[in-house]
Amino acid sequence: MSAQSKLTRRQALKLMGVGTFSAYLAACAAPAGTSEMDDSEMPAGEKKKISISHIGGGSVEASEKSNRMKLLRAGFPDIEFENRWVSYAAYLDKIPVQIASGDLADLQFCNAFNDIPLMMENEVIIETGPLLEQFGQNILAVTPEAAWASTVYDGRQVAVTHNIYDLNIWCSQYRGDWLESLGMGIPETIDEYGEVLRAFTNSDPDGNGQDDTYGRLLYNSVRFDDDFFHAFGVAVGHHLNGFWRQRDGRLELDWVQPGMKDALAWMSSVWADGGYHPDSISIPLGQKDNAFRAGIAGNVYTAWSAVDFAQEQIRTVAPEATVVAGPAPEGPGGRGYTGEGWPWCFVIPITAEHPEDCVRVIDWFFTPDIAAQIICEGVLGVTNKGLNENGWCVEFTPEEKKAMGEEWSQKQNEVQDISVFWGLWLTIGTLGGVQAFPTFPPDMKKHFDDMLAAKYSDEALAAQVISQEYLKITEKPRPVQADKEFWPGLQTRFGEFISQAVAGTIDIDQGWSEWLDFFEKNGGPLLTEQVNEI
Amino acid sequence: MATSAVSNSTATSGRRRTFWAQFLFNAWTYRYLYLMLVFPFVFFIIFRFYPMWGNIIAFKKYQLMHGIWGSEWVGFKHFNTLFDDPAFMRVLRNTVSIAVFKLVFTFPAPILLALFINEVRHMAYKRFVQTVVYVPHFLSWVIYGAILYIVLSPANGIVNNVVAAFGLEKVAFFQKPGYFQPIVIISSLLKETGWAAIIYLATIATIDLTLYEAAIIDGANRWQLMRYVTLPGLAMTIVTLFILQIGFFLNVGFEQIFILQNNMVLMTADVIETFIYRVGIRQARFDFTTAAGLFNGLVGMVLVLLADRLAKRLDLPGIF
Amino acid sequence: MVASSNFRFRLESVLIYLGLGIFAFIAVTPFLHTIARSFSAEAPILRGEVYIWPVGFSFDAYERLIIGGTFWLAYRNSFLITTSATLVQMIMTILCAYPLSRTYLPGRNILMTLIVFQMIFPPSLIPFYLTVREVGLIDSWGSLIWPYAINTFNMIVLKSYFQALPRELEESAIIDGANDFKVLIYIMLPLSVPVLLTLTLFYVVANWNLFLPAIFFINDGNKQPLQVILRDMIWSMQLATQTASADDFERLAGMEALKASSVIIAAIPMLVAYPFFQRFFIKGILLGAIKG
Repeated sequence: MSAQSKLTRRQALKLMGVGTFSAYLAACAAPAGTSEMDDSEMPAGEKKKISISHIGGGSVEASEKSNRMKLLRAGFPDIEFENRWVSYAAYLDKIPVQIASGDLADLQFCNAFNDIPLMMENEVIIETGPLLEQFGQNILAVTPEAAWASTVYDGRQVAVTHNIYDLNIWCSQYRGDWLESLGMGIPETIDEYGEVLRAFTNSDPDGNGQDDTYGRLLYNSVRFDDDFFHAFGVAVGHHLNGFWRQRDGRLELDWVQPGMKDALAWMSSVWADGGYHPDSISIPLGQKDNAFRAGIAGNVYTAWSAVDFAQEQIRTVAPEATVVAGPAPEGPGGRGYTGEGWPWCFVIPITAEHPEDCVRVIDWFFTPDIAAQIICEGVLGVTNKGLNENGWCVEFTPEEKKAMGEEWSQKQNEVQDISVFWGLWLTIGTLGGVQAFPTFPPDMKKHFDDMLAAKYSDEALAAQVISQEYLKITEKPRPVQADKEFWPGLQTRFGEFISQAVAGTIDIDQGWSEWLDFFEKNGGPLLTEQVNEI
Repeated sequence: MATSAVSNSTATSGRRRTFWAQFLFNAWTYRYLYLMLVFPFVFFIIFRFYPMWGNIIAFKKYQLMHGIWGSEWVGFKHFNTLFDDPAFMRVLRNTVSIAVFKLVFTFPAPILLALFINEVRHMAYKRFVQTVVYVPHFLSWVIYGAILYIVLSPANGIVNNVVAAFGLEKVAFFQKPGYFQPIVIISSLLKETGWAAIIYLATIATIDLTLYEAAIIDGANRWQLMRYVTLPGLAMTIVTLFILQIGFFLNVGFEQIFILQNNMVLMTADVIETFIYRVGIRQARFDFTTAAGLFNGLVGMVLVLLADRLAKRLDLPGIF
Repeated sequence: MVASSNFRFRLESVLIYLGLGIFAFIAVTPFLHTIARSFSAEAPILRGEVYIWPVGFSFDAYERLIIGGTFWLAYRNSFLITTSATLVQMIMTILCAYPLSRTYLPGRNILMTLIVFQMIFPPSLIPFYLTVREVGLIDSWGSLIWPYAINTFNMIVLKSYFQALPRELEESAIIDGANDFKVLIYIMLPLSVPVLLTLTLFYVVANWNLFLPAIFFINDGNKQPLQVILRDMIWSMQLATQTASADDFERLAGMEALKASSVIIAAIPMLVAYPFFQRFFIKGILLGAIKG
């Protein structure tokens, strides 16, 4: 008996030798890559800690070692920064958990439309208005009014906006060579537009004798096809917020205006004539521009800055191809392109120990002298030219990069800067590349304006002007209480209705009255009420 | 009277003593088995049972500042929201329909595949088939979905090219509600059957070869061997997996359906999980999401208990 | 008579071989297509001209993936997470399954009911997250291991398997003076090798493909596993195609190939590991001990 129990003890120890594998785990779990971080003058214990959550991109390690990060640390010797990295691919899954658990970073990156109402409801963020007045003068100076509207809640400013973003980036783009070969001009009216789309499909614009071209690939939810809708005085709206505008002194949702039905009838007639790519609407997210870039479709509604890339891509199959932007087609309801709106910002949670410093940090990014050193794409002195004699950064021009050839790829690999979405540095980046701040002195502003102009073709820059000219933005400034309960249902029902209406699988008259009925019974009036109370 | 009362109380205390004695006796007799369970149950208690109390937020209006316990009770409000939603009936119908199809087609498929692979005598070919059918499991649904779109495209998809070659009209498969559920079933058959067959192949590998030898001596042919030796050898695994699977009856595969659905086919494509994602998770309504999870669990629990009872009645092992 | 039944047997064999071959081909085509894509140029992919052979062959996508970003760091992370988590999970699963497979164990039914109950009513996400935080695992790899130490599904499969092994094996060993640990290690486990390997494979693959837990529990970009890093690279670059200025063309041109190659490169370790497991499923194990 005793011999047996001795054996057992040994066996038990062997089996449950947590020690062995927990030691192994501890070895595995040792933090990676922290050894290379340079500790600045002060010991860590005396520093204030500020954590920053931002959407990822590129290499964290490279970002840690980068010149920009050194500059930031040097700017705040009394602060220890902790970068919390969120994958862009998973942001939507992560942020609800962060809100519901209260685990927000001291500077939390978020979406104003979606996240701020949830955060306010859970009372996890602080008011930032007074702090901005005190510590954020540079931020206030560069941020457009529209960017603030979405971050005011119950009359209080609750966010630190973080970017001077273009609201106006969308426009309709055509295959110039196809228009030419068909003897057609860039369409000005919605009827001409329809003819162009039909001709792109049916009149063999590439002249290869085959029936292999199409007018346009409609996006999955028809949400990104607002150039059609604006011609009838309505819009679907790019963001989940929908599109609202003032009618007789009241804000009303475009989705229930009579123009919406006209727009759908018009789109449906083009569908019936084959004016769209047959994969339209059923295409998965993110493939909206593919048919255009592959030289299969002749028209696309997308960001102006995509002109050059599309042209380059199409030319691999059609060397003579040109891409030109056109004005918003005019219809009975006017014309327009939907502006994105700028919903991204930083918020400061109640758990932040040094809220003033948080604002100071963001303000630092917008200080003209600092911005001039960091707003260039690439890593200072490696994938860009570094600073000029005025202390302003200079990028390589496309020609210079081309001339470098292999050396250029090596430089990119060296800094591991594979993505334009550079995490924390997104703060001062913009979707269209470097944009000079309005607060820059004139000569500094010119330096950056010229640099931007050098990066894009004349066609792309012309597209930028066009997209600004026809810009329209939803007038609903922010979400309301009833959104949470009713909006997902309305959105789904409406998306379903318009997709089916355009594709002609339902009777538009009947579908329309059913949709209006649904809207009435499922929170539509309450929503309108609350939007008008803001 | 008095005596009987006394004797009664003695009996009770006696029984109590026997209970504790029995308990200690058991604890000592089976000490090694209980010892093994210590670590697993520490795990279950910390990471499963302890947070499970948090599921009461299904009956509360969860607010961070009040915490799970302090949040206000709202009774069955979230359940009512779920059941009263105009989309709910449609969503439930689609979910049940896909779930039944999956049980009828995708559950038995790997068993058949394993049986047939087992019939292959040529080793190299056997290995080849087995490896090849296992591979598609490693394509995510995002990638697999994109490929399905290409293959089924009405523009120049390979399937429609074949359809057109026969002089038929091309079909926009992803725009017709009638095709959605078949696409879901067929694609999961192609993608997951090989992966799911692994466990059956492993079980077949443990069947005693002498059983086959004996049956062959008795003159059994291929199908009889399959029917009377291999299949009984698999019975336990099949029943176990079936009961486990049925516990997740209403979970029909979020990722796959979310990727494949679009507005044109939502009437047959919207299921409980995609509905919850839209209405609950994306809105950070975790109280509502939890309520929906409890509903799914309740259905699963009932089905598991029924299936387990049925299996035992048929003299097959249950999961308990 | 014999000849005809022999003929029939052969015909059936041919049909089975053929049927399996056709199924295998259809099933693997998407994967071949993905490989072909990963080596192809962008335009043919977008035009739908790539089937299962690359068009405009190049290695670029792989080169950029491997050199770019934190690829190797993420690969190493995933490798360490997978090996350590699988080790923990197998030990815990065996320790849990064996006692519960002993139907005579007092209290077993209550424990099993509890376990099935928690499988069907898993904790809701927020309480689960708060628990992991209370235990102090946030931002460490422990958060990807300990909260997932037992997959109930796998545990019950193993339990059922143990339960079906003949009682005599255990009894004779006990009579010989062995205790339960010895019975488990020297008798039960050797008899269960194929099932144990299957479960190991299940755990390995699940750990390797792990995505959401890492998103929820890990904030440090340097500790993220491969799947997270890969998806992030793809998403960021997809976004970049919207805004590319001339100098970005080269690195963005192969978007589709890059997506495909990221899938292939993540699958490779699992494909390489499979033949190792497969040997045991094919050969079969003689249950010599039962014969007697």
